[in-house]
Amino acid sequence: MLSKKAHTEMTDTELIAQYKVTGESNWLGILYTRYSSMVYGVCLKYLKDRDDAKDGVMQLYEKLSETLKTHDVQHFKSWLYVTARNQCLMQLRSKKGKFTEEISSFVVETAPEMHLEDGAELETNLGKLEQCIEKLNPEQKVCVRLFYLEEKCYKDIAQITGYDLNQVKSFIQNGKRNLKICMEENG
Amino acid sequence: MDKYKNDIENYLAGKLTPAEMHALEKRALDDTFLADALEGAALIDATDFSKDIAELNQRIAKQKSSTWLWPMRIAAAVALVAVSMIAVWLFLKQDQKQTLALQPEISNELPKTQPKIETPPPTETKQSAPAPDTTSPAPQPKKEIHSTPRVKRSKQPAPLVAETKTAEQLPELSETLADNNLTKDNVSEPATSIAREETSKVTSNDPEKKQEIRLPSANEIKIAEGYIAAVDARPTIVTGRVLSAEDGTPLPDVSVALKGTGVITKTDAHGRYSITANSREKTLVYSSEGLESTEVKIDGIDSTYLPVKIEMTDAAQEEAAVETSGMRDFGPTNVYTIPAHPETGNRAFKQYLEKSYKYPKEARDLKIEGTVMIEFKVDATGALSEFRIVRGIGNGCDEEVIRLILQGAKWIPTTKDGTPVNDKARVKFKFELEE
Repeated sequence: MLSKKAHTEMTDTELIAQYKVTGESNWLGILYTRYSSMVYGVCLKYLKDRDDAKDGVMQLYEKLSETLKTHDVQHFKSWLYVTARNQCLMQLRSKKGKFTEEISSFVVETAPEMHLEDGAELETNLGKLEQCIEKLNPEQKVCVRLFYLEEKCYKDIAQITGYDLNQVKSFIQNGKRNLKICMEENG
Repeated sequence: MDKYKNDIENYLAGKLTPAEMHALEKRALDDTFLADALEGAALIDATDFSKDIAELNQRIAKQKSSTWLWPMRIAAAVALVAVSMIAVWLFLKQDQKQTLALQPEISNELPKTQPKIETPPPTETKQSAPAPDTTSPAPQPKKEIHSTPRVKRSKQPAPLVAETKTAEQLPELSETLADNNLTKDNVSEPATSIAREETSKVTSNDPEKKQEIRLPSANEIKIAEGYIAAVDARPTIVTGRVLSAEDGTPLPDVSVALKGTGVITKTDAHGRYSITANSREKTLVYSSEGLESTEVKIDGIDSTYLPVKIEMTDAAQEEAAVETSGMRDFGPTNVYTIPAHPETGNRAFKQYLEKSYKYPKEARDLKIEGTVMIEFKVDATGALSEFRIVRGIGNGCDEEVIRLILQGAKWIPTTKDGTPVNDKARVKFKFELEE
């Protein structure tokens, strides 16, 4: 099936363009299926109920088919994330009966992931990076080293260090943040 | 574009390799959407999650739009021609693994495109050209590409991959490169040279593509090349465990090197390792300082689990409170290296440390515990200098370990093919309070 290869390789923007031109929801289906597991995960995180989350995914799909017709969405993925989260929060609030209006009537489009430069910077600042790693607290240091230098996954790191998975995750997240701060301060 | 689609499912179901898991986790650190999704997905059972996603994707596929108008249909037909162009172009790619719940339906609805795909008649190109709103900007350059003779099939995928994926791969790859530079200086070296060859082939084939591959900064060029090389060389990941032949206990800190290359790794606390071999028919060399190394051939295997048992005459590895280890600094070529080690041997040195150390009073009072790792230079004469605290717990503990090393046994320098060279070594010591 050659057409299959075509659409799996199309960018989100191309798919949206196709949808706008043709009005054919298949394009939207292709696009949305790419993110359905992520949207479902986000819905689960907030709604904590499988059926509610499934409904959330489908609701968002319907909303999508309307919004994309009229709005120019530049960074689909970021937009989808913000929209999905807002929808979940709205639902939570309406359930609690506190507010029924939207949290925000407009959706802020965050910049696309802007870390393309990260790599280049890291590469030129290796010496500094090493120094900064040394400044981390011991737990963060161990986990950051295992994760970034030895490329271990969380599960392996948890086994090696004896920390539980969530600890490993937060050590790496915080370690990464501290590293970034350290690199910026000394830059 | 769809390559990440099933990642969450596979991740939760434990279907990913540690390397793939690591890659996903790394992406999640930069991508709050993915991070949230993983967090949410982890709340339910992995099989339930997969089931739900399958159900959702089916529901998404079934939902048809009601606005299906004639003018749009015509526009769609023209658009499909444009799509078929991309299809032809992509026909040259061979890596399709994921399937979409939608796919059968879609291909049924687009049967017209099928015959056109095999041989794209030039008229098609003309048809789509005058309809500017139907062809998105992206397919434009692609048309030029597939209209060039498709003789060099094997060459084509390389530039395509470079073009479509470089942007996404940059952060990850560059970090990997950076990492390699840190720990294993020699690794990136051969990869880059292969890449250069590949790039030059590509550019000579296809002048238009050259523009797209060319990247502005030196860093980026290196990265792009690295990627092409990786695709071309088809790295094999070998994972395994190193166990003591004596009692079957896992051996940590055993160096595993790919013979004849600078690629080296170490076994973890459970004796596990994973190493990437860039070509086949290589030999893995297992060694631990002061011990005889063991060589195992890996012949044309794709991804493999390679458990190895090593005779460790000098073992005593289990739950070692003290370990010494030579630094990995293997040359890029086929050099037989023996890392620096204490004259008395590792076991004796370990015993010496355990017997002679004094828990610093300050640390004891403050109930400080933890592991200290000291790195130092062992020059070709065996003299020790440039002590550096790799991992410290302070309160006098770090200094205590340095004192012990200085007052301890003489060190035998690292030798490469029998010639002593300057190198570094590390000593790890764990401070633990009784009770």
